[in-house]
Amino acid sequence: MEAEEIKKAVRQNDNDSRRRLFEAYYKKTYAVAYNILRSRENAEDITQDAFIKAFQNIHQLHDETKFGAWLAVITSNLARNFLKREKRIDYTDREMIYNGASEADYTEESALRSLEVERVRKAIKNLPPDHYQVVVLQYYYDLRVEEIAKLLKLSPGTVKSRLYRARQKLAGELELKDGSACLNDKGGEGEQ
Amino acid sequence: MTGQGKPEKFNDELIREALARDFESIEAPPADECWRRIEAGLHGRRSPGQKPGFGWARYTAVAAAVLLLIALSSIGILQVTDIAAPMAEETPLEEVQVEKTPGEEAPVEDALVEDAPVEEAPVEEVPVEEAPVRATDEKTDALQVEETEAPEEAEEFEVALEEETAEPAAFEVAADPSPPEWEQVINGNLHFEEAVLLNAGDGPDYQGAVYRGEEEKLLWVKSQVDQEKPNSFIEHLVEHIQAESLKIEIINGYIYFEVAGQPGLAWQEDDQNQALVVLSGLISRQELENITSELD
Repeated sequence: MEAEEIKKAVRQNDNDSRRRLFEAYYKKTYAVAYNILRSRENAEDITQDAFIKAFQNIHQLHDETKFGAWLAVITSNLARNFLKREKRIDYTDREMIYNGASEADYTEESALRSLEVERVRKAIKNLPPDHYQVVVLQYYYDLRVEEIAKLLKLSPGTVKSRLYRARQKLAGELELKDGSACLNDKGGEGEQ
Repeated sequence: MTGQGKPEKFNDELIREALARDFESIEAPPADECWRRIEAGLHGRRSPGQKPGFGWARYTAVAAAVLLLIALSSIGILQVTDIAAPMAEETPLEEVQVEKTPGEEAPVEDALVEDAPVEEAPVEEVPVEEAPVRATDEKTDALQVEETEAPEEAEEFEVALEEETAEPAAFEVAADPSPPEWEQVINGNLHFEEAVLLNAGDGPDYQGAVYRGEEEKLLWVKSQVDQEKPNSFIEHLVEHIQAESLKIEIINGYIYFEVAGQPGLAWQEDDQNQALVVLSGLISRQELENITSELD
């Protein structure tokens, strides 16, 4: 969905527009919820609640083009609160099926790249919810630290610190896996 | 946005690619079913096979929560994480108000609503007369539950304990002669100012730390009392800071309270009661909640 289309849909907020927004963001929203909750059923419920909240409060979104990021914040906050309420992190439902492309078609270079991406993907999924949240907002939704801080109602310092720690964790995890890190603890805006 | 060096760009790119792959490849349940439930939720009706979402606890859940509250309070079993009002045991239960919000987690709302201060969080109060659940007996011997028309999204409850006008907290405390090791900076912008001993009330002394930001002042308190009930902790804490008004809400396992119009948040960690109280400036509930997760 193009930025203009998103803007229009957010402004209209009628049933058709909502449906278009839902279709554009359903999988991403579910992925955010699932990666925090590790439970399909709970992720489904949180996804549903996140869309309802978003559509009901859509007038509070000042920059319509940021709908995706805003929805991700709602989703991750709902999921985090759910975990806090439950006081647990359920790792029992981690065998998620992914439709990864067949690796047979890859050249050696692209296969290596793909493996690396896969390792990073798995490492990202192991981040704590508050770190995962800022990583998604910065790297997927391309938000600046100040924008993330505003959305999360945190100070930019806290956001930077979370991003920094998230990258450190990613680097640490990837290094631990095979002794050759593909990430260092730098990158992005979060250098301390 | 990204680092300037090549390796960092490469790393950032890897993260982006990994997230994109994750979002695109995840096998989500059928979208149509979810959409049907969203539509039903938006129109305030339950669709066939609809799961009760976390944010849509129904009237019955509220009634059950209130009953649980009374029962737990009366037998003295109450943990911070229980959906029960800890003050109910020691303070007559005046009334139970049911609030309606667009979702279940009010703190979340604070975070998702841009520029919306906590006070403006979209919470509609249901007038007491119209509240679907009302506990009338002060000592909880009998609980009257009136079945009136329940709002669909009724899910939080507030126990109004006292109606006195809030007075500014006259915060007079002594310096702590043997303070524990307090964090130097919390929330990225609140700096440790002084360790204090809260000993103004009749209850046990508590150790605390005052943090100061540009305009904000926050008190972090830890209790050393074993087996202390959260309600007693909050009561004593409020006595210590010499405030007279107290309003409690239990949301998502946290105890939110209000002292002299300022928010506070209490929780238990390793059976030890702790609280954050805003003394001045604007710190939202969501920020308080975020601070507690940082402190973990």
